[in-house]
Amino acid sequence: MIENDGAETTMVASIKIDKARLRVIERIARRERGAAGTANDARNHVAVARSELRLDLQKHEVIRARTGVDDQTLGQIAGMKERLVELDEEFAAAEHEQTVANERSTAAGGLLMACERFLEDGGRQRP
Amino acid sequence: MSAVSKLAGMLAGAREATNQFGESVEQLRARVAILQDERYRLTNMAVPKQVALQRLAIWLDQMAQPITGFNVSSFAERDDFRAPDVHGPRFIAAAIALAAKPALTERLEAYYSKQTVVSEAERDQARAKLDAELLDLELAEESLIREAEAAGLTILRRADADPRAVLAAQSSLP
Repeated sequence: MIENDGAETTMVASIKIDKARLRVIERIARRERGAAGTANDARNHVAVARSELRLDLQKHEVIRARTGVDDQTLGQIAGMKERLVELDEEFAAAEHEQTVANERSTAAGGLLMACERFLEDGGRQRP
Repeated sequence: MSAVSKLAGMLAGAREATNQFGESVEQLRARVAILQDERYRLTNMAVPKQVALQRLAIWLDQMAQPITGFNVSSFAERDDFRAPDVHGPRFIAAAIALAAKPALTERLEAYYSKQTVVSEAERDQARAKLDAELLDLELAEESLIREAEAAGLTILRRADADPRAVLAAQSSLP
C-alpha cells in the first residue's frame, strides 16, 4: 500500500512512487491522441479526395458515353485514372498510419488509466 | 575530417544508439512476455487433486440428494399410504449420480495423472518469485525508456506496463 498518501512521493513495497510521473504519462497520452487525430484527419482527407475523383471520373465516363469519342474527355479520363491509382496508394498508406497511430494512442491511454487507477487505489498491485 | 563526414558519423552514431535502445527494450519485453505467460500458466494451474475430488464428491452428493434424502418411511404407513410425489427427472439424475460416482472419480484421478500439479504453497512461492523478477524487468525497461527519452528518442511504453515501474521515482530505477 502507498504510504504518506497526499505527498508527491510515496513508497509501494520497496519502490518509491513519484506521483509527478503521472503528468509525464498524461502528456504522452495527449501527444499520442493528437497524433492519432492528425492521422485520422489525413486519412479522411485522402478518402474525400479519392471519392470526389471517383465521382468526377464517373461523370466523365457518362459524358464520353453520350458524346462518343472525344479526345479531350479521353485525355481527362486517363489523367484521372492515373491520379486515382496514386490516391489509392496514398489512402492505403494513410490508413496504415492511422491504424498504427490509433494503436499507440490506445496503448498510451490504457497505461494512463492503469496508472491513475493505481494511484487512486492506493498503490494496490495488479492481480 | 570535413563537417559533412563528421555529421554523417554523428548521425550514424545516433542511429546506432536508437537501434541499441530499441533492441534492449525488445529483449526485455520478450523476457517479460515469457514470464507473464508463465505467471498465467501458474495462476490457472489445476487445483490440487484432493480439492478437485472433494468438489466432485460435493457435487455428486447434491445431485444424489433426491435419493439420499428421500423419506422412505412413507412406504411403511399403514393407512395413509400414498405414492410419493417426486420430480421425475431429478430423481433419475440422482440415481445416475449415485451410479456414476466411481466412474467419475476414476476419470478425475486419470486426468490428474497427466497433470503437473504443485501444492498451493509451492505455487504461491513460484508466483512470488516470478512477480519479483517481472518487477525487476519492468523497472529495467522503464529505466531504458527514460534514458532514451533523455536522449531525445521516443519509445512507447507498453499498455500493460506495471504502474509501479512507470511511476517509480528515478532513485528506484536500476
